[in-house]
Amino acid sequence: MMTCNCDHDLLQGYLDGVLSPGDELKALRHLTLCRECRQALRTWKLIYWELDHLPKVEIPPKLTHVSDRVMTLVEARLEKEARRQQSPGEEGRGWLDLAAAAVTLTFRPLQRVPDLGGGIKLARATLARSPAALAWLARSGLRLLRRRSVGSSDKVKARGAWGQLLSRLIR
Amino acid sequence: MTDLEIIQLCHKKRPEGFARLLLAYQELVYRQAYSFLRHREDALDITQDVFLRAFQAIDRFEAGRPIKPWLKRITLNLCLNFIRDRPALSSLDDTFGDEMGKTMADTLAATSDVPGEVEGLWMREALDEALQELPPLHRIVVLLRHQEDLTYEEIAQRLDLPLGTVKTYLFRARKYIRSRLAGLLMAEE
Repeated sequence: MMTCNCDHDLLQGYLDGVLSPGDELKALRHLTLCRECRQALRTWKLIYWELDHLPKVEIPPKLTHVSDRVMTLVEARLEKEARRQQSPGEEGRGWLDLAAAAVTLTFRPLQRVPDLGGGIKLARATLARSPAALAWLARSGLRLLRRRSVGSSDKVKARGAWGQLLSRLIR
Repeated sequence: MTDLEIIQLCHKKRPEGFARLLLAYQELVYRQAYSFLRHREDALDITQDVFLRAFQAIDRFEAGRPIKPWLKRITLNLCLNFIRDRPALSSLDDTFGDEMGKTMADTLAATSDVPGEVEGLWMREALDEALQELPPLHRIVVLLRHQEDLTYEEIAQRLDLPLGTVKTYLFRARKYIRSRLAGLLMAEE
């Protein structure tokens, strides 16, 4: 039966090696005198040893399913990325149409772009040269919208299209 | 294959790089996640998330750096998020410690004289159960101290907890383990 009110936090601190020199000396002095605390320290050492040497966690067979799933996702993303890098035009097809609509709606009143086909052609040509050129086109389109008289419904549509186009370009 | 070669393959967007990464480290990640959460399905989910997170961040990971500490860090963070997202789970850490005396008495009462070779097995089992019963953050603190050999300060930093809380959790958790093993330890003594 323990009669000594030994400080177990002190013993833990002692084994962790975090006591101040003063506290360590205090602990050592007490340990030399107190048999019960020496016994308690031995028990703590055993617990520390067990915690330091925990058995390895068993690997469940399901872990292979996890790696299969991860690889499937990784490969899909890598393929998508590779496709995007090989043909940026493919990725840009959606916003190319958007660009075409914006170009057509803005430039048609100026008789520069007769129809949607012409707009697409212009957008494609611009994109092929450089996305920066398309960005310039988008900005000048917006400026033009502010100055020129464009049919009001066309103007609203064109503004929306240019806004979307610009936000995509910025992204 | 070295860590450097694995990362170089990953940086070249070669699937075999990621396959190698998984092969080399999935068991380590699972083991750590399981140790922290003590739940097989949750640990498997965390393992998957760790590698997907690693995949997303691989471009920023410098080739030549060791992979193991990086993955361990991601695993710990995802486990902490998992625990913190579940208030029922994380609140266990606040109320832990009240029933410690009772558990010790139960263990003592349940223990009788057993042959020495069985004691070792019982010790492992009892320790496993005690770890299982600890609230998650208490358990993680103990494991970071004893399995990862981190200092109190490092643990506090990793878990974003005050140093005093780390000490409290660590000492309290060890006392609980001691109480759960009491009968077996007395047999040793």
